[in-house]
Amino acid sequence: MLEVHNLTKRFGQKAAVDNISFQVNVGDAFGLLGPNGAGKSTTISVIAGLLTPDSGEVLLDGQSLRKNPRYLKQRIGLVPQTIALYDHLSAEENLRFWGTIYGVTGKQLSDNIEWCLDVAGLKDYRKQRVKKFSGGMQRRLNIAVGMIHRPQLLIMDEPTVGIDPQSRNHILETVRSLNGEGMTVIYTSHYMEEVQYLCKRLVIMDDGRMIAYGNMDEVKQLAGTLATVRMEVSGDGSAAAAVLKQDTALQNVLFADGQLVFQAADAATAVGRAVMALSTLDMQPVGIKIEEPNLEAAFLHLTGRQLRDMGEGQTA
Amino acid sequence: MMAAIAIQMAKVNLLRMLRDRRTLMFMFLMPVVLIAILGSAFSGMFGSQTTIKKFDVAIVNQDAGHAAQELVSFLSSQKSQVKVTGFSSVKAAQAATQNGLEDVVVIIPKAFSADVAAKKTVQVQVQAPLNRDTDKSITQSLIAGYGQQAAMGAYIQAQTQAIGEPLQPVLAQIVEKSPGMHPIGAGSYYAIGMMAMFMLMNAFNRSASMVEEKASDLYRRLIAAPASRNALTIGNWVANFSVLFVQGAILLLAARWILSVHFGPLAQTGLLLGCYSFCLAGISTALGSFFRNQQVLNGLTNIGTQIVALLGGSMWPVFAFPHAMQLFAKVLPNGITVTAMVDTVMGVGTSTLMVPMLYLLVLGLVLGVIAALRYGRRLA
Repeated sequence: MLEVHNLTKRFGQKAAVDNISFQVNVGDAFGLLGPNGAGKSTTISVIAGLLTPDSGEVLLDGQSLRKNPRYLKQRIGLVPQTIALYDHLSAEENLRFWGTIYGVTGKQLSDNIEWCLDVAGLKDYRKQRVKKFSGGMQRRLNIAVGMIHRPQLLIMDEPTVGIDPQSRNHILETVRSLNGEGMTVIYTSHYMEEVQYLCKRLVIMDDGRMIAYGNMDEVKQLAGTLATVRMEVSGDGSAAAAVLKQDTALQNVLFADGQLVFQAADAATAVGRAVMALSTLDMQPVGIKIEEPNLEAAFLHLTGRQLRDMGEGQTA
Repeated sequence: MMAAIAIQMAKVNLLRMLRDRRTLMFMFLMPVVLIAILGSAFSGMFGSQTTIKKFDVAIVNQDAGHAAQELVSFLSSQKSQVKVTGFSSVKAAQAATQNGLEDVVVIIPKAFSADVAAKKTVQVQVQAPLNRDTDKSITQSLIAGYGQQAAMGAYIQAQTQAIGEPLQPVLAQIVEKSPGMHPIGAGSYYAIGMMAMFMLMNAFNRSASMVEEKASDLYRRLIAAPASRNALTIGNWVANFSVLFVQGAILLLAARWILSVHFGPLAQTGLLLGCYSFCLAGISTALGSFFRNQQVLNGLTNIGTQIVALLGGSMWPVFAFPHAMQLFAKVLPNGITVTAMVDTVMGVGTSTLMVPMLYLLVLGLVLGVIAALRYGRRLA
């Protein structure tokens, strides 16, 4: 359905997206995972027709974005990262406005408004102005507006940033439900858990490059059978990491957020070796957590860095 | 499709204006207050008092003769302009003016009638406090007019007696022909000037809002839609036009109904307002389309508004400027609008104002087309 071929987008000398290719099938819940600055938003901006690629091609149903942008725009719904709503208008007025902008009119527009309000759980607040909505409600309406023309493909750019857990769960359930009903979704996030929960297939991006692509299980296996060990320590964690790095059985050792993190094929043996090594520094672990192979482990394996280290305001 | 988008964009912008109290205050209350203040403060500058109130004249007639009595009767007959009260002494009359009971004192000297009969020059004293100078001048004019009329009567009578038959003088009939122009008051002038200035400010503010929106995800969402760039530009243009026209109309109506300011014919004033709004909508859409940095635009427009408003005659009538500076008002949209609206108030007809109206429309259209070349393009 959606094909991205050798896409490159540069800003000056910097390649924000560097020669990436992937395909999103009909009915997919497709994840774009990566830290801030990885190139996820640039990628979806090109797909949505907001940016012109320097090279490469985007096709939807075989139609080229370059040659027939209107075809793609009519079939793609975009949910931007920040709230893109008129806060002096009510929920219903916003939906009506954006519906008109997307070329939906008359009864079709009224039906779509009802459907969107229903999906967003805002039927009881349809007449209320957006400025009086909570952050979560605004996020839900932001998503609903992206669907007002009932797009084939819904692109969501980090739709859960900065909201409370309850609203986040509501949004995740909504996306899952929409995908269950057959809507194709591209979901970008730097939250590994969200992508893991929602998506069947994904791309992992870092520094503009595609570092992994495939089914969820395939990508997880990129980390091999390595388990990830997180060990909370008190004392000089950097010195402890330096000691652990000397042990070749412990891979990708790093110290972050008060935790020693490393990967190993045999987690139990690795923990024993690490504890012994720490004792030479008169250090003892305060807590130990062993994680089975997951997206975080894959990212760590591929980049030597943690996804969660690349938080807000940091660049990859 | 294009019309539906334009209507929706206009509706969104009008609702934003109407639902924001601060905007309403800035757009409507402030200009109306300024119109009231400036109109009142500069009312003398325009000779705007087209009617002079009736005033009180104290007459001290020191002569018992016929001619003196005729003069008193003449002044007393001018009831629409003066109210005459007789006083027995100059002191009493002067005291009455000092107390504010009377405005002007007329003193007819003792030998008035005898001197008139002897064809001598006679003097009637007219006194008034400094603040009643106009009333004094009017009284002097009335007396002088009466004197000429009386002299002419006496002359005709003497000639009639000399030739023994009625004299039939052929007098030139000088009749005033009205040019059909009305004077403009300070209230009307500043209502027009402030309307033009606040609409200009709003137009610049709207362009700044467009620039701000371009940096937001609202704009990303707009250009991600299948609507054409032309549709979005026209939508913005119509939105700007609607807001500006409504603002101008409300300001003029407020000045008309709240401050009782006189404007010209409604249709002609409305037409001019429409042309000005059309032009400003083009300016704001073009600025909003071309600028990327809101701070730069804000800086330029904050200074620019003051200068353009001043040169356009919003703050001070352009006729008071040096000739070279007056040329700016002939090309600036606000200057052209102020001049055309002032002309409308003074009675100039629509056909005479076709050139400024066409100028405003063409300028708005050209700027709108230029805006369409830029607005809605991909981000990079």
